[in-house]
Amino acid sequence: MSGAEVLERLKNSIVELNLDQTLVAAREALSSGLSPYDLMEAMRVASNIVGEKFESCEYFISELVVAGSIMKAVTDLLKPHLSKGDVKYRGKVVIGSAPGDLHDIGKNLVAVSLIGAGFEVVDLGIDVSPDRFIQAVKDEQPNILGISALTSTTMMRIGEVIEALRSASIRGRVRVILGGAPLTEDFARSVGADAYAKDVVQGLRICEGWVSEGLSKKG
Amino acid sequence: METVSRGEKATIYPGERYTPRERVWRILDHQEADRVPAELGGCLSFMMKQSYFNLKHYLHLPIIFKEIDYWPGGTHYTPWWTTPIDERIYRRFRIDFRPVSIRLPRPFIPQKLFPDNSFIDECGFHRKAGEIYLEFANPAPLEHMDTVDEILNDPYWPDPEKDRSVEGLDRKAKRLDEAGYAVCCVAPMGGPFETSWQRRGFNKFIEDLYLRPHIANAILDKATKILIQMYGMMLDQIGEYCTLVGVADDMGAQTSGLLSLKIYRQFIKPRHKMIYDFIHKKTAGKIYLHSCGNVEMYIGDFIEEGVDVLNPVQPECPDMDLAVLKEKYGDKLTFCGGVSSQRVLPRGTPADVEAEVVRVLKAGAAGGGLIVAPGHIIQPDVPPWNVCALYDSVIKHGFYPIKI
Repeated sequence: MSGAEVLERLKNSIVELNLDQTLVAAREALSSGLSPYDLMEAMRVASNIVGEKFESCEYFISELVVAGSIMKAVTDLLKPHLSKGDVKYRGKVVIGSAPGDLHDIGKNLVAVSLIGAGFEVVDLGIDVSPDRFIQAVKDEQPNILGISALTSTTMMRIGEVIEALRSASIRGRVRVILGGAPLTEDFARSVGADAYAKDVVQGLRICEGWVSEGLSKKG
Repeated sequence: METVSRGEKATIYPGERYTPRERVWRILDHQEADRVPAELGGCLSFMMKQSYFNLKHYLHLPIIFKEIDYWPGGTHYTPWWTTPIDERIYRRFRIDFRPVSIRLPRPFIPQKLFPDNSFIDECGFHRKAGEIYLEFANPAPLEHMDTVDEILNDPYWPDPEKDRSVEGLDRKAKRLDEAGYAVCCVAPMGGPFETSWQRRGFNKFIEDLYLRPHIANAILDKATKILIQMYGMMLDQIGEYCTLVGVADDMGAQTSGLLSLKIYRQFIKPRHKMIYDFIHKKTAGKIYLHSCGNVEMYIGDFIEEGVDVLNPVQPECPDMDLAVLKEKYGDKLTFCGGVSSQRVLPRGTPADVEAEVVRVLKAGAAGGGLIVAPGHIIQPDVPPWNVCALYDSVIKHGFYPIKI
């Protein structure tokens, strides 16, 4: 079977949410001498198709979760084959739940989907203080900062994080994207974020848009 | 504000013709009554403690002892679904519903306490208190288990017969029923889907549904069995007094359903049906389902399963416009909720809240089948004057025939 065919099978098994076949195809691809980056590219295409199916209401949150888990399993399989200096991620995202917010189902799904789409993701977890966000932006040098909140109370604290970025004079280093049930476009604009995403797939599209524009760092 | 003793009959106010229970039954039977009922803390329409205490302060009501309950970490521990509502607040807002639920016979002690102050609660969930919430903590208790045996032998599965008590429930339900209220039987646990993921971890359980169905089935069966046992214990005592039986299984995210219909119908629907059929055998009360977010895609299935009332009908979610739902499902379903709790209640003025209540009444009150309530738990940032505006507006504008 040719390399292209194996990669096609890899892609299709991810889209069909078949973990076993995905792993078989991934191992076959590696042993046939394909580069891990070819696999990552196939995975990115698969992630895109899954996103399209979500947008057209063929897939729901549950399918995004499973596709994310399968792509994470492939990423784990690829890790030993990737030489460190040479990994080319599409961008780097630091992500966390707003101060005081202990919810992480949505945020975790975004993190895993970003990994599947070829981003490097640093997940700070839940109830992340403004100081921890600042420290992570300084240490990790991400292109994008993602903040999530589930409730109308905790979403009000997102403003503190963006304000803290400004006071630390590092607001210009990252694009800030927000997500979470009660948020709106107007709210995101009012607290000084760059974007709001109504769901996982829209968030992914926005981050992809930023990196492909080459405008991942705000001027 | 007047004080009321516990056994006192429900008041029939000027302009009203029915007792609360009679009114609710007419509404559930899709007939207009004297006025539209409103819900707060009577079935599964909740209020966070912080906003509740703000409300008490605003209404000059003292905090009473049973409203504060401490667990060893120093934060309050009353599961949020059983926030006790002061009888004076029920009356101030003319709430027609009163909850009756299975109890913990002893003060709450975590089944296991971890060094970070997180703990295994009485339902076998791993939880941790933050500033506002008691949230589900990672890892979930069953997350790292690989076999059905391991999962079923986990020591933290709740055992209702051993852990809970229904003593005195019948007397309480009878007293409330005789006083004229709509008695609601409420279980202190979510449905089979929620219980399963809360024990197994959300992502892990979703993976189980697709990749390890034998594990998903084992967890769901266990959860279903526990729920049936719990409803059985309660309904054997109070079945004859119930107007509503509250069940809760969140199937929606903000913008779409959590599970595809195929997976929902394969794994969840049969268990819902089993539980609701069991409940229907034990009581003439109606099934009141709390399922938040955008759940429009499941509503047809909910009705087939035997659901009579849908809560909380979140207006901020796409596809959850009350007027559209009323048109489509209004002959089979009563709606409880509808008032914007993500936008209007926390951010609006009392006048905005009044306009929101008017919108809900216009959309859903005709022909019965509407109970006005917040579109989700009232959050800590909702000012007490907006809570008052909500319920005062239902009284002001909710008398039939609705003339708005």
